[in-house]
Order: sequence, then structure tokens, then C-alpha cells
Amino acid sequence: MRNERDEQFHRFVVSRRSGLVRTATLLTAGDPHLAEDLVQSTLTKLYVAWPSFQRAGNPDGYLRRVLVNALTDEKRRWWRRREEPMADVPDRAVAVDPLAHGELADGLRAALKQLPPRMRAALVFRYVYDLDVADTADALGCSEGTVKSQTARALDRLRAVIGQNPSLAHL
Amino acid sequence: MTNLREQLAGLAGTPIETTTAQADADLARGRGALRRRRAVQTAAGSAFAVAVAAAAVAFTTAGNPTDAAPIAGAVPATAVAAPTTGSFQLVAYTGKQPAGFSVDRVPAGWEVQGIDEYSLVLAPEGAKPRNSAAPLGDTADTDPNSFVGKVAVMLQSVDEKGTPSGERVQVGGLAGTLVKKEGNRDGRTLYVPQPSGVNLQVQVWDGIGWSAEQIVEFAEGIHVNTNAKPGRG
Repeated sequence: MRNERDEQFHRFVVSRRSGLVRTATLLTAGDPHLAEDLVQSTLTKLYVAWPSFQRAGNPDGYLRRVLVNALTDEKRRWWRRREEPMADVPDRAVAVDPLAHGELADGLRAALKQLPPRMRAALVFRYVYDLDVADTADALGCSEGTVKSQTARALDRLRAVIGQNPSLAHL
Repeated sequence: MTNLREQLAGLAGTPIETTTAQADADLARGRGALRRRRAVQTAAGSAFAVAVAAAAVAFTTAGNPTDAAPIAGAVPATAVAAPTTGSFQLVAYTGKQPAGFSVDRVPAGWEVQGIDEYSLVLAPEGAKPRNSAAPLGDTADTDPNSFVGKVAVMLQSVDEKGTPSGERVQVGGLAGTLVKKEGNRDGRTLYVPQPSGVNLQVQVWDGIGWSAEQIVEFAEGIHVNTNAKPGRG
């Protein structure tokens, strides 16, 4: 029997999960399995804290903070933990994006993987989602100055790894 | 020609419509987590009262009698920043033991945050690890699925084979192995072979400051029940 919280959460998942998976894919440097794990972890935490989420003045900001915290928690992945039975994982085809494959994408994925998670998150929020420095700082729980320095260092590192590729000449 | 923004957007993949089954599974996970949290909060209150009254089983590494026997709850309420190098005292655990594992003794000042068929998770009472599940961070982390700054007991994952090399230790007459994985800065894992052929694992976060002897002492009070299940990943 579902209650009001369940119904609200279910509707939220149906409308927002796809976007969360895309964000999580970037935050995990293109690892679809880790991204799914991250989304599941985020949504679980969100359900537990649902009343707080509903009361939040900035729900998107709240969601980003939960996502970043869950990402940081992934540090403990070596700590073997319970996961749901594999039967729970939907057997669905993954949509193929041409930009997600090829030598350039592989290079970018490898370069992203070398970034610390929070630095990667700063880059993703600033350059993919066009968040301003203040909102990115709020998501990461750090100062605006840290966001600027982390983003700059992330770009420097990406340039160092893939800067030779002419298609990425105008970052 | 594409720029970085387009390349990153491409790496994120094409949006795929969420199915009802996926949303149902997310909801089930959320409900399960909330149910466990409420059960732990209920059990923690009674466990705390019992632990305070429990007779202490002294186990003091410093060997200094003045360091011994702090009552449960006397440990400072910070997890990662609260190393227990001064004293380490196990007290009888008489709280709820419903599932895959049971435990004879827990450290004074610690609480059992969750026991199910897959894991047993303990943490200092009121601990606020940096990676708390709470988005704003400054609340006690009672999430039994978060192991930062805590001790977790479970069976070895089905995706991990064998026992890594490490320090050989005796755990209640069994040949255990205490492993510090190369490059890992988070903690150590004690592997204890079980009659089923699957290793019991006791994972101890480095910041809590347990010595090898203390890990072994705690592990000797762990029992794997027949309904315990190994996880994945």
C-alpha cells in the first residue's frame, strides 16, 4: 500500500531519474555501472530524507548535494557492501550516443577518470550544466574560490591529457 | 568539430525514459532503507540503556587501570576524529540480533546501526563522519549503508575470490588474515575462514584507531548465522 510520500517519490523518480543517470555517468567518468549505483544510492537517501527534501527552498540544490555526497561515499566501494539482487537490474538496451564512443570519447573518459571526484563534479556542474560558481559551491559544500580553482585545475589537467586533439582546441 | 561541452554531453549518453519497474525498485529500496533506519533508531535506545548497565569486559591495550572501564556513551561523539588508542573496552551486547550475524560484545560507546542478512554495522554513538548521508553533513550518521568511520561485518562478496595476502592472526582458533590493501588509505579488513568456505570480513575504518589485537578481540565475538548472505560488488 503506497502512502503519499511513496506516490510523490515515485512520480519524482519517473520524471527525474533519466537526467540523474546522465549526470551520474559524468560524475563517475563514464562508468555506467557505477553511475547506476550512484543513482540508486542517491534516490534511496532522498526517500529517507523526503520530508526535508520537500521543505527545501532549493530542491535542485538539495538533490545535487545528495548526489555529491553519494559520489564521495563511493570512495568506500572497496568496502564490500550489500547490493540488491541482480534480478532488480532492468535488462534494457542502452541508447548509443555517437559522441560517447570513439577514440576521442575514450580519451576524455580516461582524462575524467584521473580527476578527483569533487574536481570532476566542479567541472561537470560548471561546464555541462552551466551552474554558476555559487550554485556549484553549494553543491560541493565548499567556497566559491575553491570551485574556481578546482575547475581551473580540472581544465588544465584535461588539456594536458587531451590537449593535442584539435577538436578540443577551444575549451 | 565539437568542443568540450558537447563531448561531455555526449559522454553522458542519450536520455532513456524511466520505466515504472525502475521507479518501483527505487521506491522499494527507499522504503527498505527507511524501515531499517527506524528499526535501528528504536533498537539503539534500548541497546544504549542495556550497554550502560552491562558488566564491562576489560580489554585495555594501554595496560593502565585508570584508562579502563569508561561507561558506554562516554566516548566523544565524533567518529573519524575519535581514535580509541587510549582504551578499548568491549561490553556485552544484548540488543536485537535478528538476522545474518550475531555479536557477543561491542566497544563501549558504540552502537549497532544495523544487522541484516548481509551486514552488521557499528559506529561510535552520535558519530558525524565527513561523508554523512545527510546532505548538510552536521547530523549523526546512523545510515547502516554508510561505512565511513565505522566497522562493518559481512561475508566476502561473491565477486571477490580468495584471501588477499596480509598479516596472519589467530581469531578464536581460526587462521585469520588482516589485510591492508595496497594503495588503500581507508581501512583494513580481517578475513576469517568459515565452515561454509566463505570468508567472514570485518572491515575497520582507519580513523577509528583500532589496533590489530582489538580487531581480533572484537571479531572473536562475531557469529555467522545460517541465514547470512554474501553481497555483490
